[in-house]
Amino acid sequence: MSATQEKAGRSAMFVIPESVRARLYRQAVAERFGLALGDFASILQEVAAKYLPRDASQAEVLELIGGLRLEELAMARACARGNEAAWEVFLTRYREKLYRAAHSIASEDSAARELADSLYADLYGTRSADGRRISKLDSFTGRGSLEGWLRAVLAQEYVIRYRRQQRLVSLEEQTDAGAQFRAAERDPSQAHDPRLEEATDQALAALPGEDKFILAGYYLDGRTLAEMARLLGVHESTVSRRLEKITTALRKSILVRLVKHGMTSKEARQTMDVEVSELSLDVRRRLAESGGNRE
Amino acid sequence: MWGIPRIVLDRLKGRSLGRPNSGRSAIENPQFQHPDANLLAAFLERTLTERERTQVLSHLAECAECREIAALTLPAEAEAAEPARSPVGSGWSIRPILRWGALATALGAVVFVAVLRQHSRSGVQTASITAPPAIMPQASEAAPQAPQPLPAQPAARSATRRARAKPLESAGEIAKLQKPAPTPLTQRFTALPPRNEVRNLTPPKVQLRPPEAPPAIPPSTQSAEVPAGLSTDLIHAAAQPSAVVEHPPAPTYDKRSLAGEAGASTPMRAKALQSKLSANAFRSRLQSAVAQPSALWSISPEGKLQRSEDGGKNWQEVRVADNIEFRAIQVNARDIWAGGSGGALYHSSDGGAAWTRVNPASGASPSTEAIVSISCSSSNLQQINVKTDSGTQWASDDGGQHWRTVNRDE
Repeated sequence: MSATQEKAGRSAMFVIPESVRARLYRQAVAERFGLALGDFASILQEVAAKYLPRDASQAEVLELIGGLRLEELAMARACARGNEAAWEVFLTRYREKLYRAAHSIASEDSAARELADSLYADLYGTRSADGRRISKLDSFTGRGSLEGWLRAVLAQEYVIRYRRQQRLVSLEEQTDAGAQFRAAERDPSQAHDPRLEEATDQALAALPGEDKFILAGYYLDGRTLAEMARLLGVHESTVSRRLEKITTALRKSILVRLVKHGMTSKEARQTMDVEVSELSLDVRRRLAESGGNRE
Repeated sequence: MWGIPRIVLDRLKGRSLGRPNSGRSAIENPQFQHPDANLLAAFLERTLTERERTQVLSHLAECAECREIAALTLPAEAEAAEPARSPVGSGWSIRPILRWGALATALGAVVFVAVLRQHSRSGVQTASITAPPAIMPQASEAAPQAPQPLPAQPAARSATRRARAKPLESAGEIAKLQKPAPTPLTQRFTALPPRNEVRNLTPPKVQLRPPEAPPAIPPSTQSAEVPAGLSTDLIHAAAQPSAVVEHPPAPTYDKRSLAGEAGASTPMRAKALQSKLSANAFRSRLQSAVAQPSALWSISPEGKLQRSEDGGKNWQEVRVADNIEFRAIQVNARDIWAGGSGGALYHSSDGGAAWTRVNPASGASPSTEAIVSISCSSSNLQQINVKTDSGTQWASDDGGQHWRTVNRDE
């Protein structure tokens, strides 16, 4: 029994009609990569089990597997099993793209090459467990494109490496400065009226995830409107309008909650005005320090 | 910068799982359930279900590291110029269409001036030559040809430059752009140019209306491409010649041609009359060219080709081949090209009655890469360009008889 069949066996088993299996198998051209129909069906079962609840209807299962990148899925899984034809296709299609993606992520030449090479090793499967080669390609599920998946894996690896490096550097710096045991200082600017904190938390909790994502991306991460637009797949002007709408609604929502917490309308407005002006000063200062390149 | 209270940022920061300065990677922390690379890729490609998308967005809102990874995963802007899939329900801005619309309007007006002056020239000896003689036959025979260099192009170019330099906000600005191109027409072109080139017909499926007759107006905007994210309706409108003109243009004559008609000798009057008749014939051809075509084509959510003979009320599946999920279609009157999974490329030259499988990877083993885009040059319907999901491109200059691989730089 293959690893995929084992995995599918352990999780929920969904019924995929034989005719559908055969159709998807042909659609994926899986035979070309040496995958048997049974193996391919097990992969589909495994993917469905990963994303769907146990009680998912057959329609949901068919919708999910019908939307998969079947050919890329078959090729990736065949690569993970060491099929030469699949590797040949993979290298022809993705080798150059992978290095290009690594360059765009890491910017610096040697770091990019190292990043891409290390991913190659993971894709090929150098590690072994129970005498079996484990390839990272075995975790590709075909929900998005293989190219997108490769970029995401590269980005994850890059961020993990960066954090590790940052942790080492910051620990060394702290040790040099004798600061490692110093108690964390409380930023005086972060001291707020508890009523304001509660009202803000409630207002933020009531926001939809997408709105919070826009706020965090724009204000915390310093992303531009164009970057946020690309992340959301919408136009820049849409993000701009959304931001304006979200901030206006958020202010109103906090004001209402402050009044509920016992402030008068006037007090609530004054509190908010102080908060906004403090932030504006802070932002202007930060922009001046960083060269003011941000839009 | 919108007026957001400082406390909102503080509390947002406080909720963040992966704090950039904490030195600890949230990704490595098994306590948090982060979206894996599959979900992140699917999120950015907008192929997640609404429920999954909401979950991923909620996580991203609180996880700085995953936001960072998502941003790094985005292809560079140059690569993103040709997205793999059309965004579903994206907030596509009106500005690009105004920009292209303005360009098309200006070019259309220039071409029409050239056509009308050509008429005047044939009827009135004093009329100055403003367009190469090739223009009129092209237009009247309604056969798309390569755009000829027009002496009036500088006006169009300046309109283009202005359109690019400043995003257009209102229809009034389009009207201003039309002014530099002097036109004796009482009715102007106001809508989109004819475009035969439609790219990335990936899901969401796109309906194409085949032009029964080739566009009457020389496709001066053949290089115009459908902007990424163009809604299906807009592609639909852009693909049909009926979107070219708002009203059938009524040919009118400038002062010189009218004076010539009134005061000239009999042979000259006869010529002017002939010119007027010719203009009327041209108008009737133009009207017939913009008449509603009969069949609509689209791709069903299951990836099957379908056709409607009643303007889209009812659709019939057109059986081409089993086990193919079609992802791109290109319709040029009765010439239909369809491509999809497993490198399948089919061609019908009889409006969809009979289909032939075509292998563009000539000389090599058939490609298995899914075909996601088929385009056809508006100036030469024999020029076909096919693109796969991994970016491989083939082109044919003889209606699919011979194929060559297109380098990315071409």
